[in-house]
Amino acid sequence: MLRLVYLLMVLYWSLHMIWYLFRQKKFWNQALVVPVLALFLLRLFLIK
Amino acid sequence: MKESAGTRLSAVTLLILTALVCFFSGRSFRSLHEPEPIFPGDGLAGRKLLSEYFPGLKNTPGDTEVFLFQGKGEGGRVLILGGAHPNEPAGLVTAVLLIENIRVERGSLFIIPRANDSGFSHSDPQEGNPQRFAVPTPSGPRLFRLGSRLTNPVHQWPDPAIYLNPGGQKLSGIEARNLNRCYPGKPTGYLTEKIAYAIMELIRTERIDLGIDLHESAPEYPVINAIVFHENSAELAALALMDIQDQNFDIRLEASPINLRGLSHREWGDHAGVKAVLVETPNASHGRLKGAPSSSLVVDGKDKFYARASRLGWLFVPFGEEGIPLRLRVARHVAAVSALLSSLEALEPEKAVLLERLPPPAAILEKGLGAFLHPPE
Repeated sequence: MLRLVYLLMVLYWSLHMIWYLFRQKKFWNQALVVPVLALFLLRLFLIK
Repeated sequence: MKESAGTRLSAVTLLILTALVCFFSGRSFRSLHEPEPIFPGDGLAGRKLLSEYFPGLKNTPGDTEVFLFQGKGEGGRVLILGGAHPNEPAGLVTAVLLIENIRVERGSLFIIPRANDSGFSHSDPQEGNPQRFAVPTPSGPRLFRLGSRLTNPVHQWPDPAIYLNPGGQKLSGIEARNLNRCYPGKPTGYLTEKIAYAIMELIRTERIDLGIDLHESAPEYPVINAIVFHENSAELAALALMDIQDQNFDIRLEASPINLRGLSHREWGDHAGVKAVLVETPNASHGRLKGAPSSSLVVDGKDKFYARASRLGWLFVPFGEEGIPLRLRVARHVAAVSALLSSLEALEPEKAVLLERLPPPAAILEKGLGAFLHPPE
């Protein structure tokens, strides 16, 4: 149960970052999302 | 400098880039979940899974292989554990070396080369350790995974703030993922406690007489080049010590503290009545004073910072410019296994376990590990 809550939190923040990626008007701010989002996705899929 | 504009197209492009990063890094991380092949010699009598002793471990990342060697003659029953801490590679490589070479003439030998298999599926964060190290063989390098001391958090999460282990000792939360703090284990506990419980079940079911746990420690750690023994194994360890010293290896004895709970050398003896020892060799690659981590540091064991620390008198073992290579650490473990079996035979002849084709430590030192390992696939 705790794991599910954790994964839902990771999913929420991942979606939030993707939303930010599309709303952001500065390219370098968009680019900064990549390394953070990659870590969140790896954890979301329980790879790392 | 003019700021570049972010557009919907750049967002999509970066999202694709993120997916590619995840794909390639994820593939690399996932490859660590695949165990490296072991090629048992013709002395192998059987291959089991640890879950056969405790079904609660079945289909979990904690399940691991048990290799059985059986002699024709009656004798004792010995368990050898490697890979309880996957960042201590001499334990794994010694176990693999035994599996690929030995035959048992008398008695039974159980070998678990990757006691904490989950720990091999990741590496310690922020250490910069290589995922694998390469042992040279005549047919090319043979790769082994260099894991973490702890169970993969993907397999066991979250850590408690304070871990109360099955022996009743309070430890920091991450120790809940340290197999050698989780004995005698719990059938309904954390994954690591289940692994410990399954090993205890193997010891009880197979009526093991002697358990040998192979480890390594950092050169600045005081318990090093040592046999740590349960008090029921004091005479056995003392006899083995003389034998190992006869083979020109520095080694000393450390009594297992009675109030230090959760460790193999304590709980195997207390909870299963088995003779229990843990053997330590010096490993620079998981010490705090090392320079850049690399496969070469694991295998060749050379590190100029440790050499300097040794000159300053900061270490508990001599550490020269030539380093402490893996072949020396494995030769030490092989010498310790051989000496402990000889001592068991001397003290209790009916429990003797006699091995054939055990690579002599001097030959390992002279020819290297590759001469005694199966060529890579």
